[in-house]
Amino acid sequence: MEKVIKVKNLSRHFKVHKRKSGLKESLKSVFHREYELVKAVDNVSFEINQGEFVGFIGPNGAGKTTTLKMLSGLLYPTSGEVDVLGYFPFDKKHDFLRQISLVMGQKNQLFWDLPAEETFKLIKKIYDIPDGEYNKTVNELIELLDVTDIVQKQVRKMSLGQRMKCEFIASLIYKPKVLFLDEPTIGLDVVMQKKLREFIKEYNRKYKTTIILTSHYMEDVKELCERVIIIDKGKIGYDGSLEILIKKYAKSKRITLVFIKPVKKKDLMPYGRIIKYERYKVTFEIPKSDISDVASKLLKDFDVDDVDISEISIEEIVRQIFTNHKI
Amino acid sequence: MLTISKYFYITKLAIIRMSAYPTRFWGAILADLIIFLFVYFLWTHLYLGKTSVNGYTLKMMITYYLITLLIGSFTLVRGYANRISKDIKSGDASLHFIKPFQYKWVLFADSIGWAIPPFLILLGIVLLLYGIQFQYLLPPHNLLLFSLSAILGTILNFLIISTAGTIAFWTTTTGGFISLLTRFSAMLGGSLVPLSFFPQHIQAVLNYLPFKYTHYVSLEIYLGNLKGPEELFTMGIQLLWILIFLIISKFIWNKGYKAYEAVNG
Amino acid sequence: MKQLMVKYISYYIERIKYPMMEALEYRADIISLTFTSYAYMLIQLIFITVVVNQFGSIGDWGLDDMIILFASGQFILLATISIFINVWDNTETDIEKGNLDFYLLKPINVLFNYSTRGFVLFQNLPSLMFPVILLYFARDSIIFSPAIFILYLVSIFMSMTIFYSIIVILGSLSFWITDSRYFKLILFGLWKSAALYPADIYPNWALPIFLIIIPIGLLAYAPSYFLVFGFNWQLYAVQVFVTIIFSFGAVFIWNKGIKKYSSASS
Repeated sequence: MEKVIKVKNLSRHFKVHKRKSGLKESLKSVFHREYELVKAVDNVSFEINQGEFVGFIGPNGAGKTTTLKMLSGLLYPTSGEVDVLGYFPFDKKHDFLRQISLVMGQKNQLFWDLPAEETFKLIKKIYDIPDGEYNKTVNELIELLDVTDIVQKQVRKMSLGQRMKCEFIASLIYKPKVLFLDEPTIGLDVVMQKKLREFIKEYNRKYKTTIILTSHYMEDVKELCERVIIIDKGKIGYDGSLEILIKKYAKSKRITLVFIKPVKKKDLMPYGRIIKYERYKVTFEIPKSDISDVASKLLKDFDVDDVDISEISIEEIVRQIFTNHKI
Repeated sequence: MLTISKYFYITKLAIIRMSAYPTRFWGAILADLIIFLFVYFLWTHLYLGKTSVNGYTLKMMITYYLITLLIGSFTLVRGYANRISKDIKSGDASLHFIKPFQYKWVLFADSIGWAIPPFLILLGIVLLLYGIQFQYLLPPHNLLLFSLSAILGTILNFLIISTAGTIAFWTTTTGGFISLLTRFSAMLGGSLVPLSFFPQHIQAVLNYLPFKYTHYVSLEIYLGNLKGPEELFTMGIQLLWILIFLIISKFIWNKGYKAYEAVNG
Repeated sequence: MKQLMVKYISYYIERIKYPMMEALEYRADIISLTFTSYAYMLIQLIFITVVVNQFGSIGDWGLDDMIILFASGQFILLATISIFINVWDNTETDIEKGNLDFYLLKPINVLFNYSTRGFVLFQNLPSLMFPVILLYFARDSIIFSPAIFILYLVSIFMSMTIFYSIIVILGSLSFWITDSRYFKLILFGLWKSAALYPADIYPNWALPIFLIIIPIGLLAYAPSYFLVFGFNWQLYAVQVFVTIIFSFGAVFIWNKGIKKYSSASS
């Protein structure tokens, strides 16, 4: 399998000016500034093959976007090696740029004042795409994304969902080998998110484009990626199959109960593992298979005012991974 | 009903806002100084071999432009016409909750606030030039009368400019037209060149128009071009024009505001 | 190489097609725009007329000469900004907000792509008519010969290049300084002064400053000098020199800025 992305001991550090509030501090900062070293990406290594669909997940500020920017060539690494399609991305050689594409959620490459299809035509010119191939590709994409009536509209008059669809078309006209998606579904409504996910999945299946997706939505990754890389505070906590990860960590659910009368902790302990306890409120972690049994038992045995059953959040999984150092 | 202290507060706010953008503040002052530098080049060149033209010596000319620079942000400010017309066109809440009278004076307090910081800097520069005995800077003939006249001119100018902005009550595309009006108003007030340089017949007409009383007459008083009782008489005319515009302004605003409320309710 | 030029030129043509059609749509805005610039130009013209009538001339420049100087300057400033409106208006904001990312990842020169975005020349054609009409009225002062005419056009083109370079340099300051957009105010100051007068009025020490270092004084002066007084090889050499220095300087500073932008963005 051809290795498309090779990253070894990659790091990116930022010097951030430590801001303190107050007039005295502001005056001081005119003369002397204190800097803090932020390790946005800290000694990260991984390899990605052609056609893989990899999801980078982690909380906000984990280093996902920074990693993506180094892979696409927008940022210069502080140390380590990064190789994409045989190129050092930061050089931004034109031959490299022709083979990659970047879509950033809520950020536009489409020209605001032009109709979307005008931007498509300009991209055709930039990437030297022959007429026949251009027409075929664009029409196919327009149909797949169902935007036939929209592409003549000016981008500034489109809704966010319509814009993102056209952004995708613009990024795929020249059939890049590697597609970087940075939080592409952010800000979209649930229906639109689903539509876009379906499109990306289908596109990856059909064209075997290598796709790197960053997101803090678990849904994005669950639907699309076989492989997931969990990153937090600049370090990789997990790199492997998503299925295995879910099986291992998301096999429990959380059930939270609010009681009418206070309940003693020891009375609750037989029902399952208690994560959090207050006199009127308790949170259990129960295996998925048992949850309806335990829930109905609890509702029968106690005066319950409110019940909430939820998945273990990705933040919790990430936290567990980093505290347990298991995998 | 807004009290006096609220007006001071608005002025203070404007000052704070202006100092929040240091590059904008200093950029504007530097730009004005560059313009003055070229004015200096131009007139020193033009006056080679001449002493007095149209009653102005070179020293008077340079002084004229320097003092125009100093008080211009008060007596020749133009921007509020467009701001008022924008507020009217956009149906801004500011007009709803503040009745026309207060709205105008809120803007006036605002304009004063914005004018004060550059004024202070330029005053510092003028005093410095005076201190080092810059040969082209003449002292004021009568500082008190000049200051009073400048204050009257400021009020009159604002009334004229704010009245111009009310066109927006009755027409839609007003941006360019208002620009034209306010630019002309400033020019006829003496922003470009002393009015004595305009042809005689135009000067005669200008005596019956309010424009020269916003800025030019204050400078005439500064330079001592008016004899004795003429000074007080001129300031009287300034007051007269202020009264006239207060009446015109009130009338137009009431009419316009009624039309505005009918649309925006 | 030739293929590259063809690509860039055809891209540019494609880029301006739509704004051209758009210009015809938004007529009301054009009227307002035109009014404002006519107002400004008219006032300046009155000033020049009043002064020249009183003093006979400014330096060696009579009324017609001054009108040619003024018209040339206004044309250069307005046309350059209209063509490169994006660089004029948005550079500072785009740099501060990190909007240049997509430009960096396209296989086309970043400055070129950025500069070609936004084109309001057609919207400003009515405003640009005013200087052209002024030139017609002042035609008595013009030396009519094809060589001078071509020289004038070349000089105008060089001045526009210089002004474009100045705009790029000013915008590039945002790579290093926040809030640098207000340096434009200083440019306005120079525009209202240095671009209006012939170099005749400068004391000797000011000549190198406003003709070479901050060459706003050169922009209108050079082409109108040729049109009114004929060819002058020193002035021509100065203009060529300034054009080269400033255009290379602009590209150099911009590229340095892009490097800084890439190392800082997060």
